[in-house]
Amino acid sequence: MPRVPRARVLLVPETMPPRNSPVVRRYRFGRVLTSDLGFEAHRPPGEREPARFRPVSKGLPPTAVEDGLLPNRSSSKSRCSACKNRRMDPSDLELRNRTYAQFVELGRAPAAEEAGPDPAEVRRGWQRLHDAHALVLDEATGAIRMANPFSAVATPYRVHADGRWWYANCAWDAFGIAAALHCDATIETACPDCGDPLTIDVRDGAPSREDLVFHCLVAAAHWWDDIGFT
Amino acid sequence: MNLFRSEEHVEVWLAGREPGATIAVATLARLAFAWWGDRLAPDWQPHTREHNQAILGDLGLTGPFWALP
Repeated sequence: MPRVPRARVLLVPETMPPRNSPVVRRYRFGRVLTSDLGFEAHRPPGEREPARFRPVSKGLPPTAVEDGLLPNRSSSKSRCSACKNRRMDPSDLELRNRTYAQFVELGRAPAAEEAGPDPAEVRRGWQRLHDAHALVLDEATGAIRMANPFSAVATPYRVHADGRWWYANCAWDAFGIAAALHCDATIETACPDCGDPLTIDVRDGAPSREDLVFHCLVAAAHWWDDIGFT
Repeated sequence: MNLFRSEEHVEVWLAGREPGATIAVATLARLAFAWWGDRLAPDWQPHTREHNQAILGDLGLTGPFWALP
């Protein structure tokens, strides 16, 4: 059944931080939380909450410690190897697809306990998927941080699509959420230079404005050297 | 990977750092839909490097900067 386009959610520009505010300065270092941008107060009544995510880097789940499943800090060399070798075990592929489906259903990243009957096995599978660049785990907790294009943590890229808000990992992924969900969307962010709010509607795959530019700082060969920075 | 108001804003933001690549937002949208469009498909399979490189190439994103590992 084709999806019905959702009504556009309007922003109130006055809620954005002024230029050179602490929020903007933090944004330029890539640490701003979108809750600081003031979007939360203007969600229309009845609108679903943005995806709520379990905190990251606040201690290690006992099960992860016991099972020795903490993600490795993989070297760039091993990640490049993963880029070339795209073969995936069928059971890992099934876990990956189930995890993505749950992410969309829940509006957040599933916990290992939600993703399968054996959480330890789920964590082991997620680690293999992380190593294969099929998703990204939080290095401290082993929880899902990215199910690209979706982000499990707050970012400067918020996307309204399919009746709820999502966080995207970057500008590319913001459009990617509309692509993955096969629906129209509205992207909210701010210019990393000046902090001015930017709102882009995506209709039938096309952006509503063409005055913006996309800058990719890291060359493609090094995207997975540090995917969080990329 | 960020959106900016203009190329001038990119230059100021870089503050002397080596620039990467700047493309139009319309190109970014086409790239995203080609790259992520199958991400939730029940029969999803990982893209091969060649597949992804072809997506980039079809949009004119060629050269060393866009060469995948």
